Amino acid sequence: MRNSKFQLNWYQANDTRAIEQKLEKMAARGWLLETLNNWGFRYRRGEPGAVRYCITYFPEASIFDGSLTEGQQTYADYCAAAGWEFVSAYGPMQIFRSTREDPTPIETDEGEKLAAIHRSMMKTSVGVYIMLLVVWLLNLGLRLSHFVLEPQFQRTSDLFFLIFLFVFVAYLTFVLADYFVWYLRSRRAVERGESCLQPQTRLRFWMSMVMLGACAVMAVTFVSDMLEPGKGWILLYSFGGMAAVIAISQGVFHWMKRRGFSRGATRAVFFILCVVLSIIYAALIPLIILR
Amino acid sequence: VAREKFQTLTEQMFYILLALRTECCGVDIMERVREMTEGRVVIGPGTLYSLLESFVEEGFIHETKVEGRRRSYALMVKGRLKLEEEYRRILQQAEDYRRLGKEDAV
Repeated sequence: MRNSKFQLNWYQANDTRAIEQKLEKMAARGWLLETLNNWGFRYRRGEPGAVRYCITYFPEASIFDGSLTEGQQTYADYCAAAGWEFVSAYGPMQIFRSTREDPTPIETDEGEKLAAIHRSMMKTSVGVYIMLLVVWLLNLGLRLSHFVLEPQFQRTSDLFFLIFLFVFVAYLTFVLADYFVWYLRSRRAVERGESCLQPQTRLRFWMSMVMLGACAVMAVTFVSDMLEPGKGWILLYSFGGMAAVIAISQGVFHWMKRRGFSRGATRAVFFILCVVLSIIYAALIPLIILR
Repeated sequence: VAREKFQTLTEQMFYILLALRTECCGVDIMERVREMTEGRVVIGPGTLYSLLESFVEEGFIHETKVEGRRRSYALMVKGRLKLEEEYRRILQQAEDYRRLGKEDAV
């Protein structure tokens, strides 16, 4: 019988109630959350029961912190005094649980709660999405200008890649717009003395499915193009090289966090490593093609 | 943002400042407010933490003692003035209500 379980985190950071409900359902089935990381939730088997979860945001925390900051520890002490046990944190996101029937809510001021979510989102997800959108818009622009000059595709995967770029840019734009609409509507609700709104997750779910579908189609067409004789190395390098870049950078990132390196050192090494490995990866592509 | 935020005090802000007229450890403020208001006003730990940080930043309160992770705070002059300003505002509201209520009754 398995004693631990892992689930990917498909939620956006502002889906706090949806995440809490998910964790509460898991606890009722006997799976208690153990840790949270950049991929998802790890559970351990325990006694099934009624457990309340609460997601809060601590904007000063960073994903590059090896342990809780002093401020986070004080925050956890306050929560412990109100009956909430600290479970795990990843970057600004913190998870607490309580077995009390009706514990004092951790956040009793919706304005403060919204401000903490927004500051955390701007520092993490929103910042990353904006950066990705700029990079992929540039990529799309370059490919479109190339297509205008030479309106034909050498391979089927080139056509699908262009479609994929459109879908990806549309997806990122949707996610950003979805967040800002939620934020502005929640801010207005809080100004009227109401609670933050629950994000609309259904449309986002279907958009994510379209995005995953586009990724799958892109991967299949790329693989089928590369299965032609003599192109196996390119296929192997494309996927293997990318996997190696991710594995090395993530490995060093987690190792530095475990060893307790400072936030600044971990961040600097991680970014330098990502840039250097990506340059090496891209520089080796022509060599593989010529091989 | 902080200036705009503290133009008027919310009930929770008001009672945290009121609780800090005498020095108090951060974690004990929740209980002190609960006792002061006989359970009518409840302050969540997350809200308390962020409001204390904002009050220190704004110069309303200051840290008086640090024992391990236990930090104590007390009201500063600026905080006391803010509290009095809020008290006068609430009195004015009560006075307006009484005056207009009387007019309605007539």
